Amino acid sequence: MKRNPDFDVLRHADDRTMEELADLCPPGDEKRMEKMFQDALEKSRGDVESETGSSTEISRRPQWTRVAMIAACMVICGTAAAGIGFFSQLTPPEPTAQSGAAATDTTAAAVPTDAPSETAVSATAAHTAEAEAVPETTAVQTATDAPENENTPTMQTEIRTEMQPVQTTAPQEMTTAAETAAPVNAEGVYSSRSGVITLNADGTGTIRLQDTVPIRWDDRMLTGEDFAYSYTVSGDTITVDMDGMERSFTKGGEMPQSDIPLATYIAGTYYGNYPAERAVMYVEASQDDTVKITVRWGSSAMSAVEWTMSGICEEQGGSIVISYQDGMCREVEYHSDGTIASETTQYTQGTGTLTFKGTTAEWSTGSEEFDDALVFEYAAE
Amino acid sequence: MTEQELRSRMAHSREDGCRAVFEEYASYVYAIVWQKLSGVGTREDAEECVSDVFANVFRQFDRIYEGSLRAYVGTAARRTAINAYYRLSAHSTLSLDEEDHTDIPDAADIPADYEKAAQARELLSRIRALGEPDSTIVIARFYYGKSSPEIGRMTGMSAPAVRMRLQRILKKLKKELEKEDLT
Repeated sequence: MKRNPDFDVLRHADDRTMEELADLCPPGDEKRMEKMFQDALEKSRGDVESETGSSTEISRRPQWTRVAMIAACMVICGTAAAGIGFFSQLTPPEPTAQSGAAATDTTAAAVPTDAPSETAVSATAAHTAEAEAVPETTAVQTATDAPENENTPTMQTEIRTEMQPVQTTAPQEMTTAAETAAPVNAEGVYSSRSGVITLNADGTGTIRLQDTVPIRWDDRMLTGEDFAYSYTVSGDTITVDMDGMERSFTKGGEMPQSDIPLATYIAGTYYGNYPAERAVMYVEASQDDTVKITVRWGSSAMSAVEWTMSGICEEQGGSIVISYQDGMCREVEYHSDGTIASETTQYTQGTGTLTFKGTTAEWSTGSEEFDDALVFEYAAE
Repeated sequence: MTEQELRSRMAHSREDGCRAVFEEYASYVYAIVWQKLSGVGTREDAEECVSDVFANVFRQFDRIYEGSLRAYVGTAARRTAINAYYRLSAHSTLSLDEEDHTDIPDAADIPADYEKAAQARELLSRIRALGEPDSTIVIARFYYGKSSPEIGRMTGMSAPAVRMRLQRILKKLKKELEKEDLT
């Protein structure tokens, strides 16, 4: 079984290796580098204590910074409490017919007073009087509590807790609201040629492009260790915004390219049209990413020159490239029935490169047989 | 930039000279610091240590013997990083596992350290042979522990593209290292 390289061994590198490693990769982006430089400059100018006989310098922060930080925290907390008290008094806007989940989320977060009843209304025109009465009572209580309660996170929790029972009193509204607020049918496995997205019922999942990374998902976002992608679901298709690039995956869709050997994409027959002659290239996909290639260039009806070579497919800048070192060239004479009458090997262990891009195959040999690379076009079946 | 050029810059303008010294040795210092602190500190700890190193270099610059600037910088980096290591270790739970202390060399482990240093050299030469930007991506990910978006910003690639590329690089490295039985 193949194991990953042990990169931890780099931590035991000697000085020379460290220098080479440092040349390969800058430690950070420009912002962080600039900050390190400015900090170093400031420290070198500032008032520092140094240990006698040591190259280590110690700097201590002045005591007043602690007092300043405490004062700043108190100001921020006071401002936050006042802001929440202010917003709790606002009247919510009238919901529109298209508001759906977005309005539900907005009103739920910012306008706790009437939010629960607004949730029901936005989902459907019908709601019970009971549903109206209950949220008003609880919301009023919550709003009343708001100014007195300086513990902002707890207050928000109370608002949401009060909202939830309202939804259960109107099952039809709850179902409709749930569809728009948290699409439960998002759960499942979606695939395309570029990857697979798996969303489990418990809010976990994975995204597999070339590697598989674990994620957590909710009604709007797929969140991984170092990324967060928004998504929408329409029927069996999920569309994910991956760093500005939208990608769609479908339940039961095509499998990702990484599951299909590169060789599969270039297998087939290619023709090279040259004056008075025709060269044919046959690309045969073996297992994994290896191919066997035969080029036959007929010099007459009864004779031809054939090259055979094999190699591993490598993806390079949107092309599939095969570099080979086992090229063999031979001249073949045929009987009238097509069977081989004689063959003469011209050379073995020939080297060269084949580059496949789109429907074109370009063949560059390491020998001096041809002045330029030969170009072949894929022959549609 | 040569040491001579750095000294000329410093003589001409202190801040310009300091910046030139920083740009010349920042990667080297950071690599040494990270080697010592990656097990016990955060990236911010390492960056603070780097700025401590350069603060020292800037202050002592005029007293550093000509021709020994690089050696001084390296030594300052190692000493500062080791001190930071002990300071950070004192604040965190100390592990009794020997493997957690491999960054601090022990005289009794010199043969093992020598072998690991040789393995590190070999691995790095394989990484270097990958060419750019693959070698940068590998070091950024597996030595510095940077995330795909961070690597993307460094290389001008998107995060998904970085992840895809990493998989191909790993596959290629595995194949080559297994030939030499270096995994």
